[in-house]
Amino acid sequence: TGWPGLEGQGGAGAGQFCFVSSDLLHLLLIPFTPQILSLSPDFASYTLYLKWNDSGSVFPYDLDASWQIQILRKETMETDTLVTYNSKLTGKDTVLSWNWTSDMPLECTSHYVKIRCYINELLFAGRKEWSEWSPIKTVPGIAVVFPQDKVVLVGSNVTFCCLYNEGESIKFMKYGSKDYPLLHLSKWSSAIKVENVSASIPSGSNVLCSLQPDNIAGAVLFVGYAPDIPENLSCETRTFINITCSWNPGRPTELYRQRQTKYILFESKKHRCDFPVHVNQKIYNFTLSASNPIGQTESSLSIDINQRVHLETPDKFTVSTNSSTNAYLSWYIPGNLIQIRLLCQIEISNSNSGRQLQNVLVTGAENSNYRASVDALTPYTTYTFRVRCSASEHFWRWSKWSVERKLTTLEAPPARGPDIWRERSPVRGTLKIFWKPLLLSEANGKILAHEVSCYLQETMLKAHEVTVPLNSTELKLGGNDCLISVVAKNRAGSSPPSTITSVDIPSDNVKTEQAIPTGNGIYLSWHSDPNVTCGYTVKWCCSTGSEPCNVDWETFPSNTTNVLIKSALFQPGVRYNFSLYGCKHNGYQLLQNIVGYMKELPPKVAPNFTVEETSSDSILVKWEDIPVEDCRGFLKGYMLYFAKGKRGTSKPSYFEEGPPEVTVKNITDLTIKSLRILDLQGKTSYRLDLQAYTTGGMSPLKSLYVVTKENSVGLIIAILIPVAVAVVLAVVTSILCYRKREWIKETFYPDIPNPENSKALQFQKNICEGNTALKTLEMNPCTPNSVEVVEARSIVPKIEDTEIVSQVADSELPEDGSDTETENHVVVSYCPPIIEEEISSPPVDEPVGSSQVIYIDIQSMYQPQVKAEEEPEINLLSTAGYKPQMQLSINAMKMESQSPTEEDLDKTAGYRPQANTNAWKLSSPDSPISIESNNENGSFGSPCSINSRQFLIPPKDDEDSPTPNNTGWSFTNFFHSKPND
Amino acid sequence: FVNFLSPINCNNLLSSSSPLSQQEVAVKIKQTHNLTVLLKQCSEQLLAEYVHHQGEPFNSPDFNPPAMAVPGLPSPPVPPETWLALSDGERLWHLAKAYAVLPGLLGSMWRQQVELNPLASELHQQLEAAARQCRGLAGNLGSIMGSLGVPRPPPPSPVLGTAPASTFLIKLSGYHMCRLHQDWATRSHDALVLLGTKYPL
Repeated sequence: TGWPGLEGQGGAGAGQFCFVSSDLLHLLLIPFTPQILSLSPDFASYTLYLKWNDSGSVFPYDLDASWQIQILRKETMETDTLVTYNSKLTGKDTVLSWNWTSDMPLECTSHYVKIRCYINELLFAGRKEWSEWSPIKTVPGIAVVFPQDKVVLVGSNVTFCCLYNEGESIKFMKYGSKDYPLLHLSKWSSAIKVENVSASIPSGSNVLCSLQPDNIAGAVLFVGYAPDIPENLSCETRTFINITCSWNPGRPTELYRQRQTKYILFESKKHRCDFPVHVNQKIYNFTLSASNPIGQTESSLSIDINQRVHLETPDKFTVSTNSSTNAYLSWYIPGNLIQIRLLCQIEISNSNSGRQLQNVLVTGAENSNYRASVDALTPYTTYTFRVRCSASEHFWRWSKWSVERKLTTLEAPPARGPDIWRERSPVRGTLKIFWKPLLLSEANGKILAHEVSCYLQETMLKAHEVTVPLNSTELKLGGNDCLISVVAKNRAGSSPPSTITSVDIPSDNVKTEQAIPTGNGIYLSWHSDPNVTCGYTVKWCCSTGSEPCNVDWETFPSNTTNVLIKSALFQPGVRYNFSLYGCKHNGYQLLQNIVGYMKELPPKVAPNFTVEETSSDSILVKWEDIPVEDCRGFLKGYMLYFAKGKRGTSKPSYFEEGPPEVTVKNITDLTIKSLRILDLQGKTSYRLDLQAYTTGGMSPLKSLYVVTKENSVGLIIAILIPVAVAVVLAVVTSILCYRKREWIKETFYPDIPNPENSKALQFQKNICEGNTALKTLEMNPCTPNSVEVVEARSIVPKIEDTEIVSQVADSELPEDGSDTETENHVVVSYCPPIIEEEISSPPVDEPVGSSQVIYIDIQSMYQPQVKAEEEPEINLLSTAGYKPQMQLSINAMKMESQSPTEEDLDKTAGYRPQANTNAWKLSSPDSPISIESNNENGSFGSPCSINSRQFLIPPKDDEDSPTPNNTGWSFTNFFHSKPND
Repeated sequence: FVNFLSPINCNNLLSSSSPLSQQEVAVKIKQTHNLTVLLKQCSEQLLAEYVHHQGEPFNSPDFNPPAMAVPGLPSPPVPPETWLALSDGERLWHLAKAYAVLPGLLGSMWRQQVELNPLASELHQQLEAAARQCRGLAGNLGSIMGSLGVPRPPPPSPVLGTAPASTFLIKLSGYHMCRLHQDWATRSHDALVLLGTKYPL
């Protein structure tokens, strides 16, 4: 080989050599153990092929080598053969091969092979020895599973055995994917029993026997069914030459190829596939036998050949024609059919008339053409033909259909004249003539032109031809009328003429009616006219897009009074105008105009409306008609909704929030084009919505926002009435006062006031019970005196000057009273009492800084002693007597912001007149006179009615100085006396 | 690429004697590499399709029968891990030797399966395709070896032995045949990848 050393596995590291030495003479040459590259058996020729590498590259020169190959059999490794093989080492690795043929089949037992080497180095002085034996290579004997390739019936029980070699043991046996329990038959054989086997796959079910150390064996089992009895065995002849039989094999056997069912057909002990028809034999007895490895069945049939004729498919089928209504057919059927007559079926189909079958009987012939003809065909029509045949006497089966052939019949003259109509053109003396194209079934061919002529008493005035596709023409008649005739022409000829008179009978008072839409058409009705003798014609015009409309018409018998007009061109929501003409003996008369819709739709647009006029309580709304093309139906009315609402509010609340806010007006009188909405509120925004409706539905809404005007009259009235009432009251009062002026004067302002009568001062009695003499109070001018306080205690702010100033209230309150007060003289104004008062210094236990000014006024004359003695100090605020409101509020604020200690309260209590009992007592502890004087009337009559006494004026107290002690007595009295009421 | 699969082209390649240029060799190697990619994929599919039709235990994932020499088909000379340690020439030589006999063996396997599994048309088609692809690869290998000056192996000797007698052995030898076909396809692919790096386009 070209590439030694690559002949087998392990070749690279095979033979090398080593020298073992003690001394030179006792050197041993022992080659390295060789390795077997491959050991392959050829079972057919009982031959073993052995390959190994000689490792010649170890020696740089040629050497003789000997190889001992040992072949052993059985587990005991008895030597069967020992062969010596000599070779030459050539300085490079060489794969050596050797084969050996056994005297018994290799399958019979395992064969073991080993090899060793001897190098015959002549120059080597020492001892040369054989190498070690190589590792053993084994060719295992073939293990076998029985039975092999057996075919059994589904449901059978099958036992498989596995035979293996000496030295092997069984691991498991499987049938398909399932392990089965092993039945040990002998040392070298085991078995499994498989019950109720099911049908196998086409390649069979496998049995696997797995062996130790590494070997497998197996078998395949084919499981299927015996053949069924052939069903529906049927034999027939197609040509009277051969008999062909067919049958249904029944249930599949699940067995294929070599194992599939074989059928044998017998007739008179002969078996073959095709049986020839014998001239003199009519009856044939057939037997069909079916067999496979599992079983065999058979089926029989006896036939009369004349009753089993299944003709071949008609061939060479042709059709032809030479007229507008006939066709000729021809076909070929093979076979010797002389003995029989044939029944053939011709299928004629066309797109209009559908499928038609026509039977023909023909006499049988030998391999012959057969002919037939069909008539009553429609001119200029394409037909499809096909044919099939059978034996006519004993019908057995139809042949297959022949191929299809198409044929178009020739043209014939059109069957009738076209439908015609005429109309006077706007141009004077011109008549436009319309005709409808003929149906395909009527045209009998391709219409090429229409001939239009005009006859006056059988004299042709004019004629001209109009080519397709035009379907109208104009005739200039001048002032004449004539009978118009239209004839359709195709290649085969002309149609009978259609005629119509050009005479129009004038009509007056033509009404326009509305037609009823039906969804799929338009329903027209009219009153019967006894003068109409030759029918009614309804004419209309269908417009498609921008093109001028197509005139269309339909003619109805004279007894018709209602029709449903249908047209593919009708569209929903489009208005169509129909003209109803009556055909009278002397011409056509327009009887009625009818407008109609195929289907009504809601108007496309909202009606355009405006607010004409607005007042404080009404709105006048005007709207316009919707254009006819936008109505899309007969307008039934308008819906007007109005409700309060402003522009920009999200949605009209009509339909969502319900009717309370919305007013709806349904205007069904279409002549009304305006509406005044009344009872509105002035200066209010209203939202108005208007929509039109037809039977088809409501149009979109059109909305407007209107603000009503302000109601000026109401406003004026609202102002005038109160003014008038006030004036009247004033006048009445004035008159009354004038009338009773004496009494009033007497009562309220007497020249000489009578205290007894003074009601104003009556209450004082209550306060000062026992002091009934006190009736009036006269304020006498007070002569102010000034007291300057010159002696001041160190802890008390000095009061250098005390002045009684009536307008102290005008002075500003210092923010920090204590500082400023110490610097300024304290001036206290007072009116010296009639009774002398002693000013005593405050007692030591008096709280620091609580210098007080005591005012004794009218109030204090009556009130303080009572109150001051009763009320405890803790309620300083309430005991403080007269307190200006302003000051009180300040106090309140301070109380909120800081903790109100008693000291603070003293300071903030502000102006405290005689209410403070302490002060009162302190200020005049030893002046009973003053008290006395208070209690006595005598003191009131004095020019100075106020007893004021001051010890020290603390800064805060000074703040209180603005006490309006100069305010009118009556007010002071009034307020202070109130709690006593 | 497809042309390489047709036998006509393969014959042309086999008979081409004029040495190719370096560029042509690179192109040829690239094309052959593409063929081995296809062969590798197809051989895997073929094994799967084959075991599917043989029934249990062949289609069991743990079915691993002891290695069995397929008469006539050379076993790979070295284990897969040392395959790439051989020289380019050695690898090509071994491949050419194997692919000289593979088409014939696949053909006889196809005949056996038509008989055994008459309904397995997909398997039949794959076996036919595998034989075609192997013929194409053999042709390409011959062409490359000719260009590279690698000596070609001797023509295959007639297949030794006779067809296995039992259906089970037919199935088993077919299984080994598919495995070996897959092994050789992998080796050819590896060899061509390596060769492609040495002869870049």
